[in-house]
Amino acid sequence: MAQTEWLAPRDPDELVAALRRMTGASRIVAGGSDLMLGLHASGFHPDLLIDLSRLDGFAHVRHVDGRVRVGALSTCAQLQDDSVLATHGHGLAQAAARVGSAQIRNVATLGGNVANASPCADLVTALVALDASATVIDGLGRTRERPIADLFAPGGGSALPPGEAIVECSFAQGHADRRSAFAKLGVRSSVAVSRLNAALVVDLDRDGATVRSARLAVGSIASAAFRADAVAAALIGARIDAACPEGFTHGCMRLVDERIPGRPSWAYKRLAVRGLAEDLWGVIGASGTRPVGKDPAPRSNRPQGW
Amino acid sequence: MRLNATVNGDPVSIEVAADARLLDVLRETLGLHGAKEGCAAGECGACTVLLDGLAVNACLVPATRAQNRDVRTVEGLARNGVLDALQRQFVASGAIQCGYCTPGMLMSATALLARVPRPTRAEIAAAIAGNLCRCTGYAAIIDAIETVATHQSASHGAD
Repeated sequence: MAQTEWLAPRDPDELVAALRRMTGASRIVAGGSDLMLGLHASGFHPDLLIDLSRLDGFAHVRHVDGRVRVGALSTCAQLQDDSVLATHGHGLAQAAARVGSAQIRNVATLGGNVANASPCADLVTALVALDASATVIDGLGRTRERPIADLFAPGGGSALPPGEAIVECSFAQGHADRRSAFAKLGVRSSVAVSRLNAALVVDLDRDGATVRSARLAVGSIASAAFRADAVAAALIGARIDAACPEGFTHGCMRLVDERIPGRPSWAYKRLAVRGLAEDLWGVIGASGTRPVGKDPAPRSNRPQGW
Repeated sequence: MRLNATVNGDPVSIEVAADARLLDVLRETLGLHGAKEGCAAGECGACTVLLDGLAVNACLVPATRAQNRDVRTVEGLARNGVLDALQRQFVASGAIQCGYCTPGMLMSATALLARVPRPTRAEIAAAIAGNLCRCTGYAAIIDAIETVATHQSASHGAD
């Protein structure tokens, strides 16, 4: 068995040179929390591991010219407490706070969560709702910005070819009073892989209370998180201090009915999604008044007698 | 590749495979058996160690990640044969049943108290959410951590 070669680029030039060397049997390791698990479980030994942890300058969160730019090597622990996201990307900060355990959030990165392309990736659902794009660099040093959805293969998994790496994700802040929220359901209240997750982004009217437009993303019921703006449209015109509109919760249930009919998980997910919809709406109504860590315990994670 | 790191205060220089897990290097190459392999999937926290002071799952971290960095395992808590405050309080509070989760619990608690000297019980529970106790002895574990935090804060005059 050939030994795995290890490269740890320290700057963009070294990264590009390393990417040029990649084959289909090479892997990039960012935090490692998904990759190391996969390698160990499968017994697969890559020909080359590119370790991104020595790269400087890819763990930023900046708000520039109406766009929020997040470095691919930002860890979940950084993102959950980030002051820029607290104001301009609450849903992403919330998603980061709900990833795994403290141990995992200390290493797991934004870029890794996107590149791993799990159907239930929490950060991905938040990014999809935020209409984010990813900046990808290749072995020739070319960078391209692509919509997040383009990074997922139609049948599941990553669409990133060997030799390309995500360096940044970004999303527009827009001019309106925008609020975002994330909610998930796991088998326990923390440290669980999402069985269902969702993110909501709403723009408010000038009154700061009425929904002008809304975007919804749902994860774990398809090969990748997807947008369901037609469902979110039920929120338009609603006041965020009012009860969650029934059209929205019913729309979320219909989504589950359409996407996973007949699956063993269908029966509970179609009920659970109602709780997620209400959690999202509750966070939108309260956001700006609570730091991420102080959100109330999500109702949807408590068994409700079913 | 050659790995140069500090482990429990001592410099080490060893040969490791590029795709080796930190857990295997600690246990098999360095003979430090405190960090346990429970689930091998980052769910149970029995392998928790500190990397530059941050709690990580040694089963999910490449050993290469420790290059030129500081690794601390449960073996590094006691000084000169004397258990540290958390270890002593775990014993005093009966926070140990079968003991399998104890090294990981101690390392998560150590990371917490370094960052938040006077945590609330909710903060303690959140900090050890990634550490499963198969004996379900969580209440005594949280009590022990809270007791140490209270005593340390008092002795440092933090109040």
